Amino acid sequence: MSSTPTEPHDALLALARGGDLAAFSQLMEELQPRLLGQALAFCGDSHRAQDLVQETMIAAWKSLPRFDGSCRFFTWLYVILLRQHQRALGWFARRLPLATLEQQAAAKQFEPATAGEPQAGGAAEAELLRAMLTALPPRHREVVRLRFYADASEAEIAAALGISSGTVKSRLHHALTKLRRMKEKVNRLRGAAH
Amino acid sequence: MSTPTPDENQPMRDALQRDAARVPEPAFDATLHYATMRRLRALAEAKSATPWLRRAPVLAGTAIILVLGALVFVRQPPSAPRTTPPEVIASLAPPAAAPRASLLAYQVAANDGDTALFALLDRDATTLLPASSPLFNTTLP
Repeated sequence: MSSTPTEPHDALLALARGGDLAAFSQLMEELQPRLLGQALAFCGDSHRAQDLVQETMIAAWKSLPRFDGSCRFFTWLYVILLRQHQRALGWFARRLPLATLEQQAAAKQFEPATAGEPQAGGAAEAELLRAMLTALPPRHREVVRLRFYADASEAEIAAALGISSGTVKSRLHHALTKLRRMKEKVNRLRGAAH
Repeated sequence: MSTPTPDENQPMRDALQRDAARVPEPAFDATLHYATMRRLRALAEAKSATPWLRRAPVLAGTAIILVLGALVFVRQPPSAPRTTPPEVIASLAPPAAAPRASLLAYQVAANDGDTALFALLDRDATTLLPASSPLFNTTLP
């Protein structure tokens, strides 16, 4: 990467990378709410989201020496969060076939709290969008989440995932096309129902 | 000169951006934070103790302790009624502050296979009932 993104936590990061647990704790105090919000948004259940954040923090501490600053620290954390979620999802998918239904039910409970706006259609659209995201292949879902939910640039995503910018662009394009086609299919089905 | 084709995926980009803006940022969860930091401190302590453990012939030591324990057990007269001292019973209860892996950690370990799961269970068992526990120095009733 030609330019390193500006990092507001440089000093704390440097201390934490040197093994300073207190500095890491301070860093996580700042980033935990955002991380928890994201975890809640894609797993829908508060207990699971807390577990996910806890495992992410532990994995981040273990791999902190490998963080090279080529992307923002939050982007790097977000990748860990996604991978932890993916691993847990694998377990649920194999052993609890109803996990998806459970997740959807939890997401329904979560939606009204997330959207304070009056329109129920917005919440329904959000629910549909999140269901479509779940249906994407993991590598496509990963770039979409990083680009739109972690607000990472394509160059940052490339650095965080260890892939080229071209691959990021390509995955993003394919993911958006798949999402668009899913949406079109849903709209056709809705049109046929009316 | 050709006109640029409109991005067919732009509405999807807009929808994703709207959804991302809707994701709430909950308040800082102090309980979660301190529970995690307790686990991390335990990990850091375990890591600092590991070099010593690596040098020690762990397996040989364990085998010797097991043999000695078995000898003591066999040589004890069976007539004397054996009671478990209260401090031993107390040591059976898990310490409240002992950091343990989360449910998700167990799920992930199970996902990785039996070896990973047993390693995690062993680690927690060691924390909850350490080898230094008086239980291991006293025969059971």
